[in-house]
Amino acid sequence: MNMKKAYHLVLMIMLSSMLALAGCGKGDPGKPADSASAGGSGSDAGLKPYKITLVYPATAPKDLQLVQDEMSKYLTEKINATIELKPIEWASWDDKTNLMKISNEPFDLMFTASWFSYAKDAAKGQYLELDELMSQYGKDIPGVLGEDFIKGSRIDGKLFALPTKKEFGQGFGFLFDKKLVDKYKFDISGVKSLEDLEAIFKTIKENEPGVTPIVSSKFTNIWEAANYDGVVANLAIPRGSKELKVVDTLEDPKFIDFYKRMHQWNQNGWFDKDILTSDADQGVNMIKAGKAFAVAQSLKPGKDKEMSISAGVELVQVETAEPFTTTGDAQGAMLGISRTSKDPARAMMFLNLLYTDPKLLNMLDWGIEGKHYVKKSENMIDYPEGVNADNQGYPNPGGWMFGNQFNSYLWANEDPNKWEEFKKFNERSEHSIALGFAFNQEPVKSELASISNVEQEFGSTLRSGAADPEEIIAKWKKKRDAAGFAKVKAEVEKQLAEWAKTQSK
Amino acid sequence: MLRRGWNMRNTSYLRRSLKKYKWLLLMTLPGVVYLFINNYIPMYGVILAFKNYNYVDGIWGSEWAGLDNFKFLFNSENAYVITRNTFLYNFVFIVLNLVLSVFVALLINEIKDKVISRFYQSTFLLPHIISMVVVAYLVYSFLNVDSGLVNRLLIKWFGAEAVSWYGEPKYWPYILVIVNAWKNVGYLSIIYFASIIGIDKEYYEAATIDGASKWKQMTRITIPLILPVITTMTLLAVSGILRSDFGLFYQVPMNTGALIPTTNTIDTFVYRAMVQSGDIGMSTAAGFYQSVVCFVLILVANAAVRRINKRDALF
Amino acid sequence: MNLTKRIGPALIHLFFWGFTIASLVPFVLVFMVSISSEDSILKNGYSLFPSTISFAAYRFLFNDFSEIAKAYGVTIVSTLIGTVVSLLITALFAYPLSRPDLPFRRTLSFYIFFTMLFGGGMVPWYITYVNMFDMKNTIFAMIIPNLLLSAFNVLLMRSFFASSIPESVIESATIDGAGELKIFFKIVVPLSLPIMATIGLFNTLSYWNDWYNCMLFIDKPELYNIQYLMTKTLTNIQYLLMKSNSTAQVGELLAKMPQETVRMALAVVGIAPLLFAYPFFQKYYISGITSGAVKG
Repeated sequence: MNMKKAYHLVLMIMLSSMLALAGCGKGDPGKPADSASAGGSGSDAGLKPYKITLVYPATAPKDLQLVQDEMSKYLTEKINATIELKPIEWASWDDKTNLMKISNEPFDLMFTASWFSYAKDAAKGQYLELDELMSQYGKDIPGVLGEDFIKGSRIDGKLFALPTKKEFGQGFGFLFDKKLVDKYKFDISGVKSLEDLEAIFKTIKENEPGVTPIVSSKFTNIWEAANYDGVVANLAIPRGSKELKVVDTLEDPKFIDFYKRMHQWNQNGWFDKDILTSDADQGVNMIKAGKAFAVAQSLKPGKDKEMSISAGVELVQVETAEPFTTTGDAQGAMLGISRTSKDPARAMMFLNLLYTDPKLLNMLDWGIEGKHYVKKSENMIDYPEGVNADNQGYPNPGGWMFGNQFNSYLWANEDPNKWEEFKKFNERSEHSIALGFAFNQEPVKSELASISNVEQEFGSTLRSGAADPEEIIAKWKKKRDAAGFAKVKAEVEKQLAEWAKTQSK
Repeated sequence: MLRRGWNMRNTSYLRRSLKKYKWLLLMTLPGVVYLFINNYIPMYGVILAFKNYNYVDGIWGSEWAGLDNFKFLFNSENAYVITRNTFLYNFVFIVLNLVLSVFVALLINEIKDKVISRFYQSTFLLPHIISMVVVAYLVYSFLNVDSGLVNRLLIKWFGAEAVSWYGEPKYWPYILVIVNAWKNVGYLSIIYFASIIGIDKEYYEAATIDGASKWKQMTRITIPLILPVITTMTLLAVSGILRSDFGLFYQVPMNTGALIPTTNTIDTFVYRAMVQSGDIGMSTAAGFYQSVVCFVLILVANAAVRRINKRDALF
Repeated sequence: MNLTKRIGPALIHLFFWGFTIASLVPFVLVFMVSISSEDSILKNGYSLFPSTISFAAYRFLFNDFSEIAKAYGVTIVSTLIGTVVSLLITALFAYPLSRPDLPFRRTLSFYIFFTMLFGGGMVPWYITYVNMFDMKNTIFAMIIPNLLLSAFNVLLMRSFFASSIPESVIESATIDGAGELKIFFKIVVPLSLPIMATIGLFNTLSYWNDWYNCMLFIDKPELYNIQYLMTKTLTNIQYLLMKSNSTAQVGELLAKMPQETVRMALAVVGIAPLLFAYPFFQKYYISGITSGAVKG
C-alpha cells in the first residue's frame, strides 16, 4: 500500500469524524413543537403525548420507577405528558451535567442555583428565557411566588429559572445542647449580642472541662452572611446600607473587629482544636457524644427540631441575627428549562402544576400514598407499618428543589404549623437593597480564578481565629491585589451602577 | 517526523521491508486504531483552550478568545509557586520511589522461601488498591489534633505538645512524600521484581563461581540488566512531571486553606479556580500548558538517553 | 562470614516486616472502624481496638443485597473481559516495537507516547464514545474507554521484551521458517510470563477499581459497578462538604449522610473480594514468574 495514500486516508478519516461530531454539535434550540395550540394550563385538548425529563441531584432511590409511573399516569390526565425522573449523584453532578449540556443531550428541566452555576449557565445560553412562556403556560406561578421571589431570580432583568417557594431568607444562629442549656438555665431568648454569647461560652468553658464550647468555624461564616450581602471576593454591601455601594470587607472596621474577637475566642480555648478541618456535621456528632456544646447554623423555623430528629440528640436554636434576604437566597434552589427541550411549553405547564397541584408535588416529594407514606390527617403523613428511614423505597429527594414547598405534606414528628411559621419568617426577613442584583463574572473570570485561590488560602485560617487577624488580612490583601483585585472591584461597581439605573426606572 | 522518515528510505526498500514485516505491523493495528479513537480523535478539544465557549454555539461555533484563557495561570505570583511545587514534588517522588522500589525489589529477590515472598508481595501491593478518599480519612485519623494517633503518642511517650498538623504547612512536604511512597513503592517494586526474575540465571552462577559477593552481583549484574526498564519508567514519570495526583494534594490535606502554600499544585490550583467560575476553556488551557512544558522536558530527556543508548530511548 | 550470612536475611525480614505492617495496619484500621459502634468512634476516634463492636454498618449496607450482588456481577464481567482483551492488545502492540529492525518503529513509539502528553480533555473524549459509538449505558463503557490500552503498559512491556528476549532465539526461529505470529505466541509469550502476569495484574486492579467510567457513562443504577456504588457515597460527602458554606440545604443533606462506620464499611465491601481473590491470583502470577525464570 502506498504510504502517502495511507497518510491521506488517515487524515480524511480524522477530518470526517470531526465533521460528524461537529454536525452533532449543532443543537436544535427547542421550539415549542406541537403544543402551540394549547392554551393555558389545564386545557389538555389537542396536546400530543410528550415525555418530560427532569434532572436533579439526588441518589436514585429503589422505587424510582414506581413513582415515575404513578406520576406519569397522573400527568397524562392533566397535560397528556409522562415524566422521566433523572436523579444524578451529587459528586458527579458537575461532570455529568456539563457533559449533558455540551453534548446537547435533550432534556427539559434541570435543577440550578446560585451556588450551582446558575449565572454562568444562563450567560452561556443553557436555559431558556421564561417570561413569555410563563405568561402563556404558567399563569398561576407569579401569584404563588410573589413579586420579590421572581425579581430575585432574574439576571440582567431576564428570568432563566423559577425558584422553589420555601424560606425566603436566611436566619442565623447557634444550635445548643439542650441538656446543658437546662443545666445552667441559660436565658436563650435574651441572647442578642456577641457579649451575651460570650457569657454563655465562658460558663461552659469554666464548668464543663470535657466540653468544647463551639465546634467548627461555621459561626464566622454565618456572621458574615448575616452582616453583608456578599457579591464576590470580599466585595459586599453591608446590611442595612441605604445606598448601592460595595465595601471591601477586609478594610471594614466592623469586620476586622469581629475577627479580633474571634481570635480572642480561639485563644480562650472556646473552639475545638480541629477547627481547621472540622465541619458543622462533626459538631452535631460531638454534641451527641457529650463533647461539645454549640455549633453554628443557618436557621429557619423548626431547624432545631429537624436537626434533633436527624442527629438523635436534643438541640435548641438561638437566633443571633434577624433573617436577611439576598439574591443568593432568592436563587438558592430553582428549576430551569433547557435550550435542548423539545417542548418548552409543556415543561412550563409541568412547572405550573408543581406550584399549584399538591397531589403532583407530594408524589415527587414523598412517593406513593399507602406504599411510601400514610396520611394521618389532611396534610400530615407518617411511615406505613414496617417502613422506617433505613428501608424506605423512596427517600425524599429534597423537596426544597421543587415547586411550592408550602403544599408539601408534613411528617408526624414535625411542627404542624411549619408552613405558617415559614410565612411569618419570610415576612419578617429583611431584604437587601441589592436583592435581584447578580454579578456577571465573565469579564473578570481569570482574575477571579486567581483570587479564589488566595481566598481559600487565607479565608479558612482567618475564620478559625487561629492567627492574628491583622497579620493575615495584610498578607491576604497583598496577594489579592497582585491577582487583580482592583479590576474586579471596578467591574462590580460598574455592573452595580448599571443595575441601579434599571431599578430606578 | 513521519515525512522525513519516508524520504530517507527509498521506496523499493520500503516495499520489501513492509512485506517482510507485514505481520508485525498488523499486530500493532488494534492498538493503533484504539489509540486513534480514544486519544487522537478527541484531541480537537484543545481548541477549547482558545475559545470563549458557550453552549448555544458549541465547540466549533464559539468565538475565539486568543490567549485569554491562559491568563489566570500567569496573572499573579501563583504561576511560579504552583509550577515549582508540582515540579519539586514530582522530582522527589521520582527519585525516592525509584531508589526505594528497586531496593525492595532486590531484597524480595533475595528471599528464597516462595510462600513468604508471595506474602510480602501481596501486602506491599495493598496500599495501591485503596482510593485516595479513604487514604485521606486514614491520614486524618493519624493526624487530627484531638484524637489522632500521632498526637496521642507524642503526648504519651515524649510529653510533647499536641501539634496542629493541618495548620502547619511546613510538615506537609514530608507527609505527602511519605504517603506517596507508601502508596506507590510496593506497586513499582513489583514491576522491577518482574524484570529481575526475567534475568538469565547463568549470569549469577558464573559470578558465584568467580566468588563475587552478593553486593557485587546486585550492582554489576542485576542493576545493569534492568536498566532499560528503569530508564523507561523514569522517562515515563518525567513525562508527567507537571501533573499531580489530585487526590494526594487535595483530599489528603483535607483541602485545608492553611496548607495551601505547600500543597498547591497546578491541578489543585485549577480545581480551586474552577469552583468559582467553572470555565471549561480555562481548565483546557491549564491542561495544554502542562502538556507543552512536559513535551519540551521529555524531548530533552529522551534526546539525552538516545545519546547514551539508542535502544533505551522512548522514541 | 557465617555471621553475616545469617544477619543479612534477618535484616531483610525485619525490614520487610516493617513494610508489611505499614501496608497492613491501615487496612486493619479501616476494617476495625467499620465494625466499631458509632458511639465508640464519637468518644475515642478511630481505634484498632474499638471499645464496643457493632455490625450495624454492614446491616445497613446489605439491607438491599440484590443491588450489591448486581454491582459485583458488573464488575466481575468487565474485569474479566477487560483484563484479557487488554493484555492481548498490549502484548501485540509492544512486541513489534521491541524489534529494533521494525520499520516506523520510532514513529509508532512516538505515536503511543504522544497520547501520554496531550489530550483533548474529557468533553470531546466523552462525545466521541457517546455520539460516535453510542456506548452510554452499556457494559462496554466500563471496558473500552481509556482502560483498554495504557500507553504506559505498552512502553513498559516493550522494554521488557527488548531486554529479556534474546535476539538469537527469534533469529533461529525465523530460520526454521516460523511465521511472526507463531514466534509471538509460541516463543515470545512463554518467555515473558513474568511481565504478562504483572501487566495482567495491573489491568485487573485498574478494572476492578474503576468508577470514573461508570460515573460518566452509566445512568442506570442496575448497571453500576461495585466501586462506583461504594465510592459515590464517599465522594458525595466530599462534594457536599466543599459546598457546605454555599447554602443551608447542603448542611441538611450532610446530616443525612451515612456515619463514619458506614463509610469505612463501604471501603471494605469495595476491596474485600479482591483481597480474597488475590491469593489465588497470586498463585498464577507467581507460577508465571517462576516458569519464566526457568527458561535457560
